[in-house]
Amino acid sequence: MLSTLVCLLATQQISVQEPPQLRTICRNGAVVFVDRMPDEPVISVQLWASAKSVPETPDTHGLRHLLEHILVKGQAKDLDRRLETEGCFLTAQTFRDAMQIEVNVGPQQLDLAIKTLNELLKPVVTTQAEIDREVGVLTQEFAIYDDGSRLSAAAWDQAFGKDGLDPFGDLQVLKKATPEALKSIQRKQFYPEHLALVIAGPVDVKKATEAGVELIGMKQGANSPPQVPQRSGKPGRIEANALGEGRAALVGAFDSPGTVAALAAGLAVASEVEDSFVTYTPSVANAVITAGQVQGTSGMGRRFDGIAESDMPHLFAVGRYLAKTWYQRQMSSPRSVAAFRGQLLCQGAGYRPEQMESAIKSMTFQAFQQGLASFSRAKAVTVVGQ
Amino acid sequence: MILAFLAATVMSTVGTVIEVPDKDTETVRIEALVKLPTLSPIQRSLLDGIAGVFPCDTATFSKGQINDLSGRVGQRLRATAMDDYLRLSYEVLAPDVLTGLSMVASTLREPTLTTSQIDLSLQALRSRRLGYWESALKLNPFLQPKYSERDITNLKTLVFRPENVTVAVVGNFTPGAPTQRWQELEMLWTPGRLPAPEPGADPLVKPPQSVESNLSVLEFRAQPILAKDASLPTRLLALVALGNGKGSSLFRIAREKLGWSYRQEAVLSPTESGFLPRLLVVESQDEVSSHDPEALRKALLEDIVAWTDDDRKRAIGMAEASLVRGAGPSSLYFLPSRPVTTGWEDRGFLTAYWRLKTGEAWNPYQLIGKMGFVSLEELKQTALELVTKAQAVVSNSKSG
Repeated sequence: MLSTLVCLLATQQISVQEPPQLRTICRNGAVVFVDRMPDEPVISVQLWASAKSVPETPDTHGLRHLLEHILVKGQAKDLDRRLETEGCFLTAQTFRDAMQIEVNVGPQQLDLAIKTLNELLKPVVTTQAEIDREVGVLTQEFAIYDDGSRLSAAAWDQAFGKDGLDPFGDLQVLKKATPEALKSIQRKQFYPEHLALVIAGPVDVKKATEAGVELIGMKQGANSPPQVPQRSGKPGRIEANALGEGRAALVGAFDSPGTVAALAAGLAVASEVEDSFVTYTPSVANAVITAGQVQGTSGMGRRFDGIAESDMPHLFAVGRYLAKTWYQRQMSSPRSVAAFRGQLLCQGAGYRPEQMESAIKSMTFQAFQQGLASFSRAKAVTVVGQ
Repeated sequence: MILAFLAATVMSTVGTVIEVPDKDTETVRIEALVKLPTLSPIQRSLLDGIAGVFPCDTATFSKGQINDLSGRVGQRLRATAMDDYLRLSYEVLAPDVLTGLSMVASTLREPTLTTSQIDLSLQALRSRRLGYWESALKLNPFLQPKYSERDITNLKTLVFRPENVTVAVVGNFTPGAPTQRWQELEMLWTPGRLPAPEPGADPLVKPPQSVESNLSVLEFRAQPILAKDASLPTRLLALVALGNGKGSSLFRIAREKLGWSYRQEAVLSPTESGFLPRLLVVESQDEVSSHDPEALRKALLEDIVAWTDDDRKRAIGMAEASLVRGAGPSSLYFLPSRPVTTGWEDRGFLTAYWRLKTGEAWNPYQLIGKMGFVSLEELKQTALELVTKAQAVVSNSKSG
């Protein structure tokens, strides 16, 4: 009994001493971040690769998305089956600023997740026949692209033109894809200095960090990290091949007071409109926050245009609360935490979600009013669906 | 965020309150699920219309008061009707939980429903555009009902009864207080005499729903499962093996081998008496009008025959990933357009729904444990039967 007690005390002492989070910047520029969440039933291991070296251009539009589809099948094309047999699951997404590969495993399966990502960092194995078949699947995916995504993509198009190309891609470009083109994209997408690995869940911080550093911290980096010019947005009106309508505020970095105020304003107004949505992917670059709805053709815009002075205090209270809740939801589970941290860290080792939390807490009524104004017809992108 | 179940109290009038305290939150979510009795198709549509009227004035509270309480957290009272339940979902600040419960109870017990409100709601439903997925999931089409005041009264009396209600309260509150308040509210609730039943209709013979013009949904509808059927774990496992996850038969065949589709899923839909296992394949009609379902059925049957123990293990693993870890998509499509998740937003709903549906507490570990005892032969036999006896349905723009 005494030995059991000693053991328990020792365990408690270790857990108290262990730091809950640890960020490691590797010599090659890659970043490893471990977030210990001891009570969770899942470890989320997410590799985020910045798109700094592979920006979408009209000639390569969608090749990253196609690469993502083919890469995550694994070297022997049976990766999903192997993972699911172990109670694990892999997903991947391509964003404008980055590619995300997410492996979710049980509390004792960190090694399996690391091994999986190691497999995915090897040169992609593919054939022209596989690419052609996958383009067919992408054609199917495009057909079910939802209205909210189409409205948001149109807003990006109006705001940033070719600097804001939708990461889904252009099917005509994809039909010309070759194995060589995908391998070239892969090399640039996964330059070590563009990588961030986030491990969130019930893990030993030190061991997880070591495993992460061994995975991405030992590879040789590219010679010269590219300087990506800041995209510059413009307001206006655009029609979208979708049902519904929306307003998109042009915003700066994720933690700027204007961005946070626009997010709060969008959430507050959207909470008053049926079938509404707010889309925002946190970015260190200029971006848009789209507030829309998919049933009518004027509800959201009309609400933004019709806000009276007397509505402001209530909207401010609601917006501040919803922005805080939005942040808390992002930080509530290993999956969401790893996603939020990863998409920022791969854009720069110094970016942290907590910066956004601070901005939300310090948001003033005046800033919120400016946030609302950023959705006005003069300052925002008006998206009109069918 | 892990939530601990504190109490599941069965009340004297059979209504159930389940408390899920979580001190980390500032709000409380109240989920009130009303188990639906057998309804005629017209009654179902009328209930959809009534759900669209909520939140409304009640004998005790005005609509403004109900909106104001949830409006403080940017939410509103939401009502959804499915084939087996009516759901009221209401989120309020923690100090407002008891008032929130009173408003939910009042909405169910004494709503002020006028025909003009219901007409407006039905009109909105008629013109409402469903996305292809929600449309495909919906088993019963919306029918424009002709109804009278008496029909409304009868439906209210039939459905809104305390013994039909299961309530889950999730969030920051004093344990025991919601249960006590609900008991007090139930004391005020004297339901009327049950009206004579109207004939029901078999939901499976309804015509398929229309979907967006460039999409078609190919579906296999299997035999329904009763909610308390002991074979539920086996049949759910077969469904997962067939269509849940990227190692499933449906994914490997419809997407990887045939290239027919980007989205294909195994779905367990709620029905009045249980669940309906379904396999759905979404296709773009830009390339072809639709593929032959029998070719897919044949390929699936051949695949099942070739299943090994790896397929059985994958299905169990996938069920564990989705139901315990929230790591992948689930087949439990108990909501109108998406499956339930393991996250905070669905915790109260799933807790209440499973109790209402099966009479038991939701315990995914127990369910996975039972799946572990299913042999490969049993799994194959169940899957073969599921696919062989399934009704093939193709929904497209021409069929609605």
